[in-house]
Amino acid sequence: MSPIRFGPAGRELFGLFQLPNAAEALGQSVVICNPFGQEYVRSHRLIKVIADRLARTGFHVLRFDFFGTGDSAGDDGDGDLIQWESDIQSAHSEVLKLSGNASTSWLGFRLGASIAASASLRVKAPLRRLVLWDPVADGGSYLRELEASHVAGVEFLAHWSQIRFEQTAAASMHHEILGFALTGELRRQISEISPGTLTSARAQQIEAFCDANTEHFRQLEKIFAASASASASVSTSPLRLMPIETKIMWATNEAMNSAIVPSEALGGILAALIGAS
Amino acid sequence: MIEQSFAFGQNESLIGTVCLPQHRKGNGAKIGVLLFNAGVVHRIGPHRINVRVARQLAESGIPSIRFDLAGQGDSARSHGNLGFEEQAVKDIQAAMDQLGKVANVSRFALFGFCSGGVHSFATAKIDERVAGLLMYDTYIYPTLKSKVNRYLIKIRSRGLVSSALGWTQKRLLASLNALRGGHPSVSKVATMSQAGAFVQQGKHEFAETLLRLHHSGMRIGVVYSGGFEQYNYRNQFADAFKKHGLTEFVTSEYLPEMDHSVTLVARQILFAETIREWCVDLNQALVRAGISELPLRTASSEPPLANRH
Repeated sequence: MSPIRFGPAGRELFGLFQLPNAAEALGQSVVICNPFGQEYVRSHRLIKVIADRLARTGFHVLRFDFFGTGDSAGDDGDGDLIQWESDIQSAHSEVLKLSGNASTSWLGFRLGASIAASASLRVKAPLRRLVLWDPVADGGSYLRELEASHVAGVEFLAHWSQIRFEQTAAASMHHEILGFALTGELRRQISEISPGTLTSARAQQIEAFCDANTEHFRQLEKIFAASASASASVSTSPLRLMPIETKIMWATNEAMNSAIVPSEALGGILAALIGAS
Repeated sequence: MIEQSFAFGQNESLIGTVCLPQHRKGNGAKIGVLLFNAGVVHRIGPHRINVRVARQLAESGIPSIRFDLAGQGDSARSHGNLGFEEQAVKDIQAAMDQLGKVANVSRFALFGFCSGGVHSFATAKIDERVAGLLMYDTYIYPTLKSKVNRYLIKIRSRGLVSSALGWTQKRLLASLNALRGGHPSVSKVATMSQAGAFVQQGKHEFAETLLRLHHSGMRIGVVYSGGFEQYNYRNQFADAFKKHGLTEFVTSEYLPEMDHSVTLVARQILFAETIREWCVDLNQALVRAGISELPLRTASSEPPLANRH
């Protein structure tokens, strides 16, 4: 595994590039797009495990931190969805350069999945596969979800410890979510995410994974069904919704000392990326 | 500020990012600061606090490395031939080697966040390159006042009846345990934060070690958040160690408005500034010493604490 720093001047990104198991090299690459804020902290171990397994399976893998997140340059308040799409493009170019492969797939988590869906329109050659784990299909709902996590997290802290916050959880959620800045501009950009962000994505195959027992799954089902019926035929639609039986609390402060690695969902996602390669 | 990421250590199995001041030479930096995992959170720290701290240190001319211990974050698992604590110490030493090489420093300050304080403490005991040890929410020692306060906090947040019932239940269980031959209470020893309560450090042994480290030339600091009921007033550390002669040289900071994992952004700013100030003070003290190549800490000639009282 090689840590790298890449991207244009003034927008340096941190990445981890993994070579495939030489004996199994597939001549294909995967770029991994992280979720936002506390959701990324929570799922870091999961993302590492997926990257390791993909490399063992034969993929070149690049996972990276968006500008203003993780180990990349930029401050917490620099989040910008349009710029984050450019970051995915930079990562895409980087993995093509480092691997020499022509075929690349992207795997995105939550908000990272929706950014990837939107950015997929920017690459010249269509992606081989676009795999989306619990993608955000409705920015407004997602923001409400984040806000609820923030309020629950801060109220938990206030109840559990001796701290008296000068600002209510509901007031602080307007500019941050569980300790990660959410500027007015980023909030506006997220609120504009719609089902079209996912259905207009471009790849030879697009698969979304979501817990089958949630309202979110039912929403995605409707969105994907409508998209399939609008295309020439259901069989030619590249969109697939894959039910999983794993409910993940993506954004929570209380569980900071627990790593999430749901094996059943992991298996499905690896199978989607490996496909009939 | 310049950031460079590395794979380092044995077999290049550890992952870290060095953060250097913009002007690398002649900035007067005598120390490099080590930042690493808090619990299982990867090297960026809870709410990316290590990145914020690293960049503020760089603004003050002090280089740092933020890295993952073996088996945590992005670092590879260890081979398993060392115990948990031994491995952590070895990784911290490898990070000192790496930062020393990149930033051209030979002395280091270890900042330990929660369980990271345990690893920092263990490393400071054996590595002479450590010039400063700063532990956050690590070892907590109660006093009579903190115990009273703790009940008041419980009563305030949970109500008198609920707190009384909880206390009665706890006493009954302790008595039952004592009847079975177990230890009736653990209140006489340090309770580490719930986030990583795997080591209990006897108070006397802890004081004796800090005293020895101080006499060897190390600067020591402790910082506590308001996140734990067990630590609940400004001078608790000083009161707890009044009789051990630690209060004159161990700096203690209490940030009651801050939760343990430094959640809200306003708290992160306060926290980062607290850590930066402590490191800057240490660096300036070493600069004032006027020694271009600082000697390593010396073995203490002071008698052990047990013989002083």
